[in-house]
Amino acid sequence: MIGSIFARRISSRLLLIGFVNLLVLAAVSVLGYRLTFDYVMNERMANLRTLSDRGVQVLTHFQALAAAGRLAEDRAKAQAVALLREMRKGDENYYFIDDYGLKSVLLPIRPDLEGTDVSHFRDSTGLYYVRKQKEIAQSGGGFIAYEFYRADVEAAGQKLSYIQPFEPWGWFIGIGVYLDDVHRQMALYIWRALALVIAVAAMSGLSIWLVARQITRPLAQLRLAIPQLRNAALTLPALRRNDEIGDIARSLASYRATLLENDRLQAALLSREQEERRRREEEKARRYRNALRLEQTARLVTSGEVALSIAHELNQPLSAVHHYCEGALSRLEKDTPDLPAIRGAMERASTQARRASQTIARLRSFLDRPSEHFAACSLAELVADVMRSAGETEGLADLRIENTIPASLPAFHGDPILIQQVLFNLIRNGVEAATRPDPRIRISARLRDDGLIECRVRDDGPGVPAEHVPRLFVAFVTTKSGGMGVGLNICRSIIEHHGGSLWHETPDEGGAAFCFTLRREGASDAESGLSD
Amino acid sequence: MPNQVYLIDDDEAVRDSLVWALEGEGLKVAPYSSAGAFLEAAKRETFGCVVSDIRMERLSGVDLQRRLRELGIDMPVILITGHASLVVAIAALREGAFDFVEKPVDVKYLAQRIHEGLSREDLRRTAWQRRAEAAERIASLSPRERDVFHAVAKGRLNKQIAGDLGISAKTVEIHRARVMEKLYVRSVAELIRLHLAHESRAE
Repeated sequence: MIGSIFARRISSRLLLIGFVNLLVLAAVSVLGYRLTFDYVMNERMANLRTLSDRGVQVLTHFQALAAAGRLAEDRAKAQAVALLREMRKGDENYYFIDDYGLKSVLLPIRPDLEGTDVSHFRDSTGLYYVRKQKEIAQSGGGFIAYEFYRADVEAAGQKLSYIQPFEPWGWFIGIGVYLDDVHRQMALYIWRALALVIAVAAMSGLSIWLVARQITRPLAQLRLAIPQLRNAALTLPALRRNDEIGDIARSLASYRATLLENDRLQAALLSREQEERRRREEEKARRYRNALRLEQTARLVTSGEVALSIAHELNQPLSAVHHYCEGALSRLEKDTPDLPAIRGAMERASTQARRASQTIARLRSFLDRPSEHFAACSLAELVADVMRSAGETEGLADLRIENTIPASLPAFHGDPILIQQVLFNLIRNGVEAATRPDPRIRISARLRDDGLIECRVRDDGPGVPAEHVPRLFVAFVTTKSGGMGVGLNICRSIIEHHGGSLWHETPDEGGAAFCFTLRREGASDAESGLSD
Repeated sequence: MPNQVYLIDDDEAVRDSLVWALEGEGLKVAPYSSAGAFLEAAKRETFGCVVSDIRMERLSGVDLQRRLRELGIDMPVILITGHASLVVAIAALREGAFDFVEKPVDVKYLAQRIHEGLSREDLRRTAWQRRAEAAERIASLSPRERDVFHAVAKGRLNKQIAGDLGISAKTVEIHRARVMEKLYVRSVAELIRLHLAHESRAE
């Protein structure tokens, strides 16, 4: 859990390391304190023991003298006590001796108490330490810690004494040391350790802060820079550093250069693609418009659908007129004709006659539509287009078309779709007239002296019978079983609409030929000989 | 209604002018604006001459003629066309058209053809009436008399009929006399003719 808290930021992790170091340092300090304390205590205790042993040796020496009879026992005791009193070092290390009767024998700091009962002595914790000392002595000797009056500071102090029995005289001898010294020493030690810890903490904190600043700040800057790499105005940080962060920054910079270049290329590619798509769409729309018009005019020219519908439209009112007249005539023959009724019928007949003339007016406006699609067109290209679509048309696939239109032929002025329809219709006529299974159509063109372009479509069929020639261009006259007889008529209308003419020729080499003229692009009406 | 003409044309002007012209020829004309409207009104016992335009929205004149035949309405149908096409004309006549005229209509010729068609209709009407009467009379027979009637029409003898029906020859005799009386027939030949008329109607 702590890991997850500190994992967020590198500086936090560094701080964590510093913190752990500090903890370890503190633990080491505490341990050192303990070790030092134990060492000091052991030293003191060993010292006490040595001193105590020396005291016992003094006592033993004088007791031996007494035992050998070289000294009286009292003298020996007195000399021993005197010697031990002298062996005092300052107010601290002095020997004290009590007897098992709990009377003080030697107490250098309070000689006045010597010879008195000291069994009632006790310290602030309620310990009767003299009695305790006697118990320790009787059990063979040992250490005892208690509070005792200190002469030098005139106050109670912690004291550790080593007690040894001296059985021959019924005494026990002790020597003590004041632990206040030890505590003072240890306090000093603690202060030093604390100062060290603080110094280390401060130094490591400072270095952590510096390192973090050096690492995390540029890292954070880099991190913020990454999402904005496409922003050309952005300046990357840390590029001049020669450590790993510098490497990262430089790699990022080179990656960014690639990225920007890639973006630029993609944008260029995209705009080129869009341009291409737009061009294709336009081309498609143009083709679609042309196809639509082709379809419309194809119906107009080849199937004669419009002509059929016009014929029906005209026949209906004219029939009605006829019926009204017949009915009226029939009634007028009677002796007493119902004149008002006949008058009504005649009025209705008149209405129908008007309907017929309106149909004709509509037809005229349809045929006189403006030549909005006129443009400069290449006849050779149109013929190539027609040959292509003929190849895709059922029944015309086996057709062989010889196109001998010279490439040098100037462009004509007209509606390519309509002229295409004329060509298609003439070719179809030629094919339908043919007797061979693989009909051949020859298409040629030339520029005439009068400036008109003349195109000639010739088939290798039986030709048009002489008796049919005069009626070739009359509407609704046909020699074909499936036709309406409007094709050639409408072809001629289209050509005349273009200021040209369409006629039939019987070539010497057989078959039938249909020729039409078109105006050159840029030629004026007068130039092309159009007088209308 | 001996002079009834049913005229079907979806062009109002043509329809109205033809009504005018045919009425001028003394015919009774019922105009309809579509084949569907006429088919809804027509029944088996409708008699008259149908004059219909060929080129109409939805049902054409040829379709109308075919539907009438399917319904068993055997009226003569004269078709009118805007532009004479031999192919269509032959097809229509093959389908059973009475005649085929071109627009604008020669009214005199059309009237004459209508009259011819109507005289054919008279025969159909007479036959229809006869059948209707026969059916009416046969309906008045009792079940047993009807059995005897069918058996006699099939040429069975009295004795055979008695055997077939499990009755006595004498009883057959009595039934037979009752049948002849109820059907107003005097001979077995007449009885058979009536039976045939009834059968054909029941088709």
